[in-house]
Amino acid sequence: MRRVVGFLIVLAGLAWPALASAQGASQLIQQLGGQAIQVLQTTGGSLEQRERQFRAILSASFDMPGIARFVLGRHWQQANDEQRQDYVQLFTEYVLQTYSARLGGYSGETLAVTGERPAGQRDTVVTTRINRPSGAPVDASWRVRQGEDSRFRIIDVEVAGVSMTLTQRDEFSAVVQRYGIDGLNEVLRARTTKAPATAAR
Amino acid sequence: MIRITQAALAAAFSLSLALSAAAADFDAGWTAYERGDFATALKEWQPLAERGDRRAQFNMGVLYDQGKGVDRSDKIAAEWWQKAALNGSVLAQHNLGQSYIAGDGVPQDMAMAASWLQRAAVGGHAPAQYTLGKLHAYGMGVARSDAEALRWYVLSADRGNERAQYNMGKSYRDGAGAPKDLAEAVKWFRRAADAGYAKAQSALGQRYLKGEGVEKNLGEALYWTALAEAQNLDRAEDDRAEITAQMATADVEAVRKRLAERGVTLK
Repeated sequence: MRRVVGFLIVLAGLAWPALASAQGASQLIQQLGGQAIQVLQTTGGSLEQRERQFRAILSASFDMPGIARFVLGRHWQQANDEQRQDYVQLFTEYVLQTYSARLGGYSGETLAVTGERPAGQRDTVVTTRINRPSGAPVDASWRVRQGEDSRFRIIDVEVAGVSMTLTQRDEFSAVVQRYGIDGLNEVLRARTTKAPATAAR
Repeated sequence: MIRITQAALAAAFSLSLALSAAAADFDAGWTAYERGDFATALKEWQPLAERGDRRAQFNMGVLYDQGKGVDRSDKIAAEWWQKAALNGSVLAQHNLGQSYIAGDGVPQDMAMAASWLQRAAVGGHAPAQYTLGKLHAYGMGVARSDAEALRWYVLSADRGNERAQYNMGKSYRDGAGAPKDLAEAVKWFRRAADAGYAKAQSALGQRYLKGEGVEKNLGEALYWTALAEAQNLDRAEDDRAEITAQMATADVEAVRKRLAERGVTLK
């Protein structure tokens, strides 16, 4: 799941120039795409620099604290302040790392916004189609919410009807039941602090 | 004698050629990797890895773990890290331990995680020392023991690991694994705070606010809390409001000026 979503985010930029100006939610997806493709096309600088740029774009487009809290579900209530703080930070790092790790693999895919519809009281779902040179197209929808600061942010991504946040919620819940919140935080820390590739002996 | 020397020279020459060929392959892979050309990195590193080069084996694991130049597979990543780990790569021992904690490519198994992390920790790898300490603190895969946790934090903290330094501070503050020692707690919080670790900056601010382990000083409390807030640490915002409410305006302004010198704006 995380691989598919990372792939989609990388692709979000690719049909950017084809899109006319739009408002709010759709515009956010377009912007995310436009900025993403800019980084993808850059070949100068170190890989680490480009990943950092990509992370900054993602972190401005997604409501990470909101997603983190939703994904922890009912366990949020039983977590103390420090556990919550660690969890939100680690979850954010985990999502950003996962999605920025796939830089460098662009091979001509295009994305088009296919629609926009209201969802619930305050959300908008932006639907997109990703066309791939090899393989069938992939449909993805992006649930977007306007925050109190009036900015739009992504709160969920759905691929083939499967929600990223609901999938993670199930996975995390199983870990919390077995190892507690501290255990979940260790799992996220383990995923985000693996040593990177090295040139050192 | 001359023949022996010639033979030795020839052997040395061909050895150095072989070594430089291997090094060139690795370096070519590294240059490609830095460019984002992961397919070339893979092409250069794979033969080295298959011949048993532990550094190439480790990097192959990273390529598969992150899906760079290959379809992402945490299972294949764990297999390469296992090979490199058995060849003595502490980085691979660490990453394989992390894989076992997360259940990435291997079954989630805290005992296996602790065992690989221990090898890396004994090898002097500071992040592994820290994580092994955490496993002991929570009783994950090993018996729960604050004393054992502290033993690993010390080693990691001495190597400059900020999280470990912060946990040293907490251990001494709470008397977990060692007799309570508030001055010692402040010493460790300060080391991590100086290094820029937000949680330690907040903790140090609290020590100054409460006058525990250090003389009470609201200006210092505000200074360190504001540094943590500048790094978006959640609790720092409320703490900062609580501290400034107790201070004279002139004293707050003095801290504001001091923070501005570090490029930090006091809210």
